[in-house]
Amino acid sequence: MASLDESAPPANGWRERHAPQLRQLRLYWHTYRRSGSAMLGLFLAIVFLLLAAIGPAIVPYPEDAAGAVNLAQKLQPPSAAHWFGTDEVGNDILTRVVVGTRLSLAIALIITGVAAGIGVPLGILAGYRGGWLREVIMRVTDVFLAVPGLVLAIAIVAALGPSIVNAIIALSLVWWPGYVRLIESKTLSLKGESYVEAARLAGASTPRILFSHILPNCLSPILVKASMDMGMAILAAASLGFIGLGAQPPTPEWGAMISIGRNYLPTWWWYATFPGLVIYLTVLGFNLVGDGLRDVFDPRSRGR
Amino acid sequence: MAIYIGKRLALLLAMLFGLLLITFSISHVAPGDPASLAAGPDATLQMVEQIRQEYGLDQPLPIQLGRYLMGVVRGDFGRSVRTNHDVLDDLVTYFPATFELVVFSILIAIVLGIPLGILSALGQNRWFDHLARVVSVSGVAIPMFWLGLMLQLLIALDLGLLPLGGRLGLMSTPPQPITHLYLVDSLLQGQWRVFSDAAAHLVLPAVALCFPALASIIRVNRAEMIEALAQDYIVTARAHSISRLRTVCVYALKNAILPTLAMIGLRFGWMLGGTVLVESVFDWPGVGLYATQSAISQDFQPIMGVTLLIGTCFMLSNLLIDLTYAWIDPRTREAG
Amino acid sequence: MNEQIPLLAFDNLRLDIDTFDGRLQILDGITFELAAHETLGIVGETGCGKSVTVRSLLRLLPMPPARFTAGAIRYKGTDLTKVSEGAMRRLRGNEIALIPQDPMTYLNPLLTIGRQLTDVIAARQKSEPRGTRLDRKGQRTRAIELLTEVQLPHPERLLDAYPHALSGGMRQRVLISMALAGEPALLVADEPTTALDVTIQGQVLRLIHQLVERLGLAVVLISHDLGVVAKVCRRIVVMYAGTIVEDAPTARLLESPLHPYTQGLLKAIPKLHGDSGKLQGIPGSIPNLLDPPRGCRFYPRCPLAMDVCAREKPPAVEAAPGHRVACHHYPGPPVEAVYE
Repeated sequence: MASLDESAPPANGWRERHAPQLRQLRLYWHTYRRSGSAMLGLFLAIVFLLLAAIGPAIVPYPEDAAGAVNLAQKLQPPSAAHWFGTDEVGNDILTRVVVGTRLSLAIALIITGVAAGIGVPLGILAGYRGGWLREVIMRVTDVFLAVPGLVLAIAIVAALGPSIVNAIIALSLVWWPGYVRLIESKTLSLKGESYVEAARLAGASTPRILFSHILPNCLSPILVKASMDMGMAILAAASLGFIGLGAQPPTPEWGAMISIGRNYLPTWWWYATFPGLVIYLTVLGFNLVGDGLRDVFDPRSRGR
Repeated sequence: MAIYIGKRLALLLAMLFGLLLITFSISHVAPGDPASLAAGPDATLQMVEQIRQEYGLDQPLPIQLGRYLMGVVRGDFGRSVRTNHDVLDDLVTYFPATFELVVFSILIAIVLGIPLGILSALGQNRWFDHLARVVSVSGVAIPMFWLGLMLQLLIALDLGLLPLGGRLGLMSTPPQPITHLYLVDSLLQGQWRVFSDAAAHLVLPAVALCFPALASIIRVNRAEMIEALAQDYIVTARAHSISRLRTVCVYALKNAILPTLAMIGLRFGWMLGGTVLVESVFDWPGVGLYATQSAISQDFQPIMGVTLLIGTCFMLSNLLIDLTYAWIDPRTREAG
Repeated sequence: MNEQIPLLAFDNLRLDIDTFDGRLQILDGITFELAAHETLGIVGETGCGKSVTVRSLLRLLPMPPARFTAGAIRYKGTDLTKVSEGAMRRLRGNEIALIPQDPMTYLNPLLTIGRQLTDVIAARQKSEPRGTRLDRKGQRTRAIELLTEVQLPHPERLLDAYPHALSGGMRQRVLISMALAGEPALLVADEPTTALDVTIQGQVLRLIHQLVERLGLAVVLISHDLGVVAKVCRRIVVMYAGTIVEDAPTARLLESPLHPYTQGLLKAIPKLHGDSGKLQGIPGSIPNLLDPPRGCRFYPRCPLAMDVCAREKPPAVEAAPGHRVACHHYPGPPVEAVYE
């Protein structure tokens, strides 16, 4: 592989300079590939992302996505024409589910992004600085984490008013403490590493230490948690939608669809069944990806 | 050990205070002012003003906070516009149903999850293990409310095996309230029909609620048992011919149970949150349903009450888990 | 008078381990004997197979990946490679007891010393007839007896203590007391002092020495440290890469080592008195056991290597009475091995 021979001419392209990192990435990919479930998760996640990206362009009944009413077709069972059946206004459920994918992706990205964006810096700060700052941050985090997330989110949405935006705000507020806890403990353990100590003794400034040493080593737990959170955030948003506190009908959000579909059980069972199945597969996909990443980054791969 | 308990209790009180601060902040950070929130969407301006006066909502924030805290200590959590009761009374009425459901669910998850995790670890990579792994991974991904709906669809409606919802069938009368838990009360009074009816009603909601927890517990316990069985002290036990049963169930399990306990605590929290979903699906008359209905009618005070109640329950369960942890692992007691 | 059968005899034992990367030939023809009441030391560098040798004796290795491919282990005449797991279980602790290496990891951190010790005692009771078995109190008394035997102070208090509250030396004594619980005929000590401080090492070795004298046990002591082994054992076996290269009484081995590897080991030990001269290590590293050398396994590193060493395995030869060596520099009739 990479030669340590001093006499080789130094190549300065981007490839060469980052050869060890590229090799590490190839190694990660190779390890990831070995796990069947991780690959399944990747497949599901990619399908989800594809549908979110190009789904609305390829749906069989685009007019239904915009809310066309077609009462003649209402509540049709699954068929070749309508794979998931139709709803109470005659819209193709498959179309609405696919369109809802984009919404779900947006929800997941925003919640996870905001949560990590707030939680990671706070966690690093708490872990690295220590002292009273750490106490304050961790106590606040502990109190937030002492209430089950969904319940707190409901309280916040109830105060703000039911809407998909408020649901996203509420869930982001509920989600960031998880990142603080994760990153604070990781930072604490990194702080004790000899290379960090060496950098400090060599006079490196704090921001430099944080950016060059602490943050890169936090990336792997962040990635693992973030990929699982993508799925869990979709689940949480769908739960709020189901209760009626998130997306409001006729938005094609999966949870909201199920809450309406509930009224049509058992005769028109497809209405509640298929969106839920899609939620399950999406969350499963992201969970498997997160698991796979964890096995890749942590060599003591659990029980494999 | 006593010192440890004392410390944890003091911490608990501090956390409760923090929780009160949070609920206070939520009701004051809302776009609508707290008075109109408390009065509900149908209140007239006059009613809103009345509430504003009564609760001192025109006073500066610190005074409001003080009044709020005093109120909580007195047991005053506000009034529900929808039910027209004090929130505290409503909570007392609805809590036993939730308690019964949640306790039953977590018991199922523990009683099934731990042995299945052990068996899975012992029979690594055989069909049983693969099945357990598939269940445990997918179990966390299934939406609780959807699982509840599917169970209703398949088992209650299509197969008619179990009831659709509620705590008791129309033909049964609830037993005399001693503990307010139908299962316990009917058992204590020898009312077998009521007992079996209550149990039948409990099954589907409990399964829907406990499934993700069961999945996680199997998963963690399996991984931890595998790790514990690979430790050196197991070699010592083998070298001295300590029985296999004892080696697995005491020597290995005692070490493996610690992270499993942490997972149980975490999952219990998710379960408490999940009551909101499962009770809605099954018309289970607990605080979850109460909160949902309040949320839909924009009745704000009850939601704060439920948040406080569930938050307190979770904190108590965490305390219990921490104490159990310290009881099993003497090293934590000393670390404080 | 009949020649007494040795208490323990390894007879040309070969052991392989199937791993992800291939078949490791860990032990390649291990042959040595141990008489009752004798103390034997096994010395060699990390990875030479000394631990595997004693683990295979007690069958503590996971036997599907590990396999006996030839030879025998004879304990009191019975070939242990052929007996059932049930028979092994009866043997472990009762006849042959293990003192493991790292007292921190070999004791369960969540159980008290008393619990772990009485568990061992209770397990030993199973081989006693029902009428004479000890009850809980009796087990506790016996536990205190054993802790006193290993010279631990305040044994009653120790019973309720957890492993992390004890020092390394004390924990090791507890492990020794567990080994004594079954009144075994053979003690196997696997690097018993490696995890301890030097001063404590001396104490534990002295304890083992005293126990051997008092109880008349046979001991197999394994270490990578020749000094440790020399203190307790009358005879030393030197292992290299899964083979035995030299087998001699301690005094003889230290005075006149025959095998080049043993000579190298002795040259690498700094002397406290007199002039050590330059310390010399043995250059090179142990061979890859997936594809070991065809001839002598020490050939690549041997300063006295000859052509024949690359081609043929040197047989073990009795170069002097009681002094065996496996090296082509000492030709002679090979020592009788029953299995070939």
